[in-house]
Amino acid sequence: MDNIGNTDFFGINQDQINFFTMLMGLSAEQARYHFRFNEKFRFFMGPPDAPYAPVYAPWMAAIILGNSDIRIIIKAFFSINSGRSILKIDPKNASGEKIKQMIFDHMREYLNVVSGSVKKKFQENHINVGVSLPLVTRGTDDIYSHSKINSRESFQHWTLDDGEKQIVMKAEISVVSDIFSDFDYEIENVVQLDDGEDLDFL
Amino acid sequence: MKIDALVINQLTQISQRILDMIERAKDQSESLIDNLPFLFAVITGDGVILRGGDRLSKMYQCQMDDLLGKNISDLFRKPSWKIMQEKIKSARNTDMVVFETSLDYFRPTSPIIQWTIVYDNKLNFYNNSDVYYICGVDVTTTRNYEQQITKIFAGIPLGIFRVNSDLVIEAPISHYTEVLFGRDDMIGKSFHDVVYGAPGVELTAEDSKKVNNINGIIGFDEFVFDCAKDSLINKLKMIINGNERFIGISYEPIVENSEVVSLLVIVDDQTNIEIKKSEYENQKKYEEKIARNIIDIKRIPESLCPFIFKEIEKAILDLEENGFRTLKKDMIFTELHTVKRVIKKSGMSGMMLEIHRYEDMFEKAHSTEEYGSILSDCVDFMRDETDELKKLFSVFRGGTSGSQKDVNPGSIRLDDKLRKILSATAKDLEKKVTLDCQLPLDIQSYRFISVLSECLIHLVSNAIIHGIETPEKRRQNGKQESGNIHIWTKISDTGEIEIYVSDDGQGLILENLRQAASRQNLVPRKKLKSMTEESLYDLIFFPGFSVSDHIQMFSGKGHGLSNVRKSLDEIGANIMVKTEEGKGCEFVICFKAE
Repeated sequence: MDNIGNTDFFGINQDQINFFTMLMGLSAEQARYHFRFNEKFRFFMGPPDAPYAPVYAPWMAAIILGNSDIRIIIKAFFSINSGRSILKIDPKNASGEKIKQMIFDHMREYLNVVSGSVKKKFQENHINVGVSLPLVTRGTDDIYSHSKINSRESFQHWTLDDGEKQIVMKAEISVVSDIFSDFDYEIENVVQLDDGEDLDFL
Repeated sequence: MKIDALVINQLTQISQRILDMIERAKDQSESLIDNLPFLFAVITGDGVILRGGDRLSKMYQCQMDDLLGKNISDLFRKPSWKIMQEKIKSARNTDMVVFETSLDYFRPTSPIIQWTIVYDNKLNFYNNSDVYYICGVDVTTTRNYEQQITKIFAGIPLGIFRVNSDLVIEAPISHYTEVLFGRDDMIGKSFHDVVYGAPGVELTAEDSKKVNNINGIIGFDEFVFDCAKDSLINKLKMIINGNERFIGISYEPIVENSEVVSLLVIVDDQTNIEIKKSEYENQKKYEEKIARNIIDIKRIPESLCPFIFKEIEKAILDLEENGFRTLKKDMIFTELHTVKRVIKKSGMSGMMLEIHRYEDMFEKAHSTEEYGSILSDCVDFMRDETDELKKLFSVFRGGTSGSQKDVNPGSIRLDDKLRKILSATAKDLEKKVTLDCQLPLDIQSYRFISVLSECLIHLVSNAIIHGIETPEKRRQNGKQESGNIHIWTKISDTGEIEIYVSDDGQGLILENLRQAASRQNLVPRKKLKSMTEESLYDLIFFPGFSVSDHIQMFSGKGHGLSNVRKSLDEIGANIMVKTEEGKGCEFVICFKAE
């Protein structure tokens, strides 16, 4: 656990690779339904080529899972424009602040669902983890989370994009003891939303 | 396992509460940042905006979310952005930089923003993305007010600053000091460099010797300062853009334990005072010159005046022609000597003084250019002076060389004339005399004012020349050093106007009168013995009578009082004299009111 770098999968051990792969799969599966991606949907590793990196979008939703051995932070970067597209909101019909709150709620809900899936996977492997409330804040805040990265921590970016909307995902994992020795990473069931459920906005 | 699950649930609940609180606090702080009352941005070293505030989005005319990825350089014109870039670079070394720049370098009306750039040296994770916090406060209004206040304070003509023992200027200094010396970096600079070495300063030879006197004042006893302060330079002459400027300097010691530890230097602009002083001096000189000229004119016999002026004009013409033709010192001096001889003969002392001055200038000159320049000035001066004398002659003597209509007799008040003559004559004779003049207010409108004024001038001159004793003699006689001449007016019972001219001088001495009359064979000796005092006193009005046995600069021709009586007779006025030996003399002019 002492060879963690800041590039994708570089120097990360197999357990963490497996975990990140599982997490990406879970997030992508949930996103497909949650964000109503169109047929151009694509998933790729790493952040997009944003000229203003390390901030990938104006807003960021984050959720924490963890216990005494592990801490996982899942982040989703988004813009209000992407949110409008996800919720299919006509900009003429709602005030900016109200729409913003609706988008924030939706992103919180998405992270809740993703973290719920992760928690379920931990439980299946007899590991109890707690899940925090999701938090929405400015995307800029992410730049401060990297200031003290150390050898026990690693992170990974992936991007969900369909041309109209783009969500940049990021997961940070901090492991204190080896808990992945007998971990089963297989994804079996994915919670799916019915089309249009709770998503009919003005 | 159950206990673990319970503990985890409890921990989860606690952490959720904490996160809930954090989120609420975060919301508030985000809202605060969004609505900061100044321009705020988190940017990369290249100027890419990572986070912006409400003011900044308004400047970009976009939503706050759309700021992300924009480049802050878009806000600036190129020159202003270059300055900003330099400051961003220097912020990396110094952590924080504060500076001001306008958003549009080319538009003076563009807002002036005071920027504070802070470098976050802890965020070094992304090698190519240094993070800077930028705060911009619009200080346009403040700067405008400052400029207005600066103008107001710059108008207060007093600059104050402190000089320490190393003769270095210390903060604070009053703003006007900077205005006076035309620089804003005085603090920490040498007193000598800032004050004596200021642009345009011209030190006189005397001041150059005083320059280092200030070195030996600080660090010594207060008594030393008191003794030496007069040896410091207290006035600086500066030439700025061709204009003279005078700066007054005064020094106040700052004393600790009776030792002068530093100096408080007070400087003020005395240009206007100096100009006024110079104007006053010029005016005074002019008045003295006029008074001297009047006396000169009165000395010239009336009948000779036209000839004298002609002679002077001819001499000036010769000087001009021969002087300019040769431009040689010898020739100029010869011609100048001729002019001097003519002027000396006519007794024009004022003009003579000026010619002496020009003579000195010729003496010092070396080149033909200098001779030409001085000669031109000299000739112009003499011509002007002659014209003026001619004009005065026409006023005071009714001469033929100028029309009386040219000069309004009322243009110079009679009492002013009397005072000027009095001061000039008394100065020449080294006597102290005061004049109390109470003439009728409407005297200037009298038809025969010119005759009256001539007579009064003559009587006042006589009183100074013959009546008032020298200060020494007066002291010996138990009188005050300063003599008094008193002129006042009275209307008699018969309606006549009586003008009295009295002095507290030596009065008329009967024995002197007798001797003078005898010497000049004006009255037979036998008759002299039987003459009453009044008759003897009346001799002074006799043509050619003079108590002086020889002609002097101011008196002696013996025609003065006879002319006065003759002139007064012509306008139907009388003149009488009363005197008391050693106590003074009183003349009374009587005439019928118009």
